Amino acid sequence: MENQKLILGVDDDIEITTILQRWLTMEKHRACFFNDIREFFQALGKEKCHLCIVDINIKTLGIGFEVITEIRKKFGDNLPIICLSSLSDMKNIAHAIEIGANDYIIKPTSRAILTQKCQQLLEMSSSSSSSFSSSISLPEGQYRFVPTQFSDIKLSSKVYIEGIDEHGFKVRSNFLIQKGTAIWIRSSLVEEILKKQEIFCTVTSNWVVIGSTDFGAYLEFDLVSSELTDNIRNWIYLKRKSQENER
Amino acid sequence: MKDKIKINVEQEIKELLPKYLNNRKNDLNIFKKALADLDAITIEKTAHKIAGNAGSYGLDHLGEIAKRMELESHDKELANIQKYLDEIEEYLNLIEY
Repeated sequence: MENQKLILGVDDDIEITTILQRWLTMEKHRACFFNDIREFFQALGKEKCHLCIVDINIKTLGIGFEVITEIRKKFGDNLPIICLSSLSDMKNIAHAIEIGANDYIIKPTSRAILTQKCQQLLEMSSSSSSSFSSSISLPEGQYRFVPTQFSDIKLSSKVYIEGIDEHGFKVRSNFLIQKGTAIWIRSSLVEEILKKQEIFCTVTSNWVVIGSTDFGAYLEFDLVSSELTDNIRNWIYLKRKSQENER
Repeated sequence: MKDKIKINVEQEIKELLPKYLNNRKNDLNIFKKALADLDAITIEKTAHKIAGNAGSYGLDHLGEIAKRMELESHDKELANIQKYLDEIEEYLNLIEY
């Protein structure tokens, strides 16, 4: 089928690659799994791939991290990557996300988890526009994941700005904000620094904040002008100066 | 005599079970040899794989035993391994799908 998305994966456990391939085929995806890293990269270079699934411990502990780094280096940030591992500690999950994985599945997994996460990332990667054309209202509560059946939704949430540089903000949030999410930031700090009420940003990286249930994210400014850069530099300069004076 | 254990998985996964179970019977031989050689690394590696894949095939109990074997062999603690192997062997023989 022409519209089928290609999913490529690598795991040295043949039982895992067999069942993942079977599950994804049952969901009408085109999936191809490899037990060998070299063969996986050969396939990745041949045809447009829409999603990668990478095991962390391929023969050697942690080799999957190198695979993720290599994928990011060769194929950029737009190709979604799901990490698959029996390693369930926060340190490994945080590291995988930090180096470029979009999601993390802990083994043993199920068909429902795998297909839902694949669907979510495939939808995200195919909706290149960030036009928030519709909105839904959700009951109050703690949400960590956006329902996957909606590709265009509008949510608002508090984030805490922890840092700023010439390219964007480092923020902390109760929510895992997926890479590629478009965000309008409105705050008095934005007004103070940037001399405008709000600024449009895109999430370019995210991570787990070790020792808490929060998530970190880097929000890159969509448009960088010399005026914006000057305003940030001035604000940082004045802030440092006032801190020095206080000492 | 113990009751058979029914594995509830989709038909498409049932088709994979004979090969999967046969591979686990081969793993039992690997475990037995490794235990005789006091080779904790091989036990840990083999158990690690089973712990990561058994649940996906609907064999949660096998995955749980393998996880215990993985953790104990990681700590070079092999005293219970034979007991776990007997448990796995019995479990595999009782499976019905």
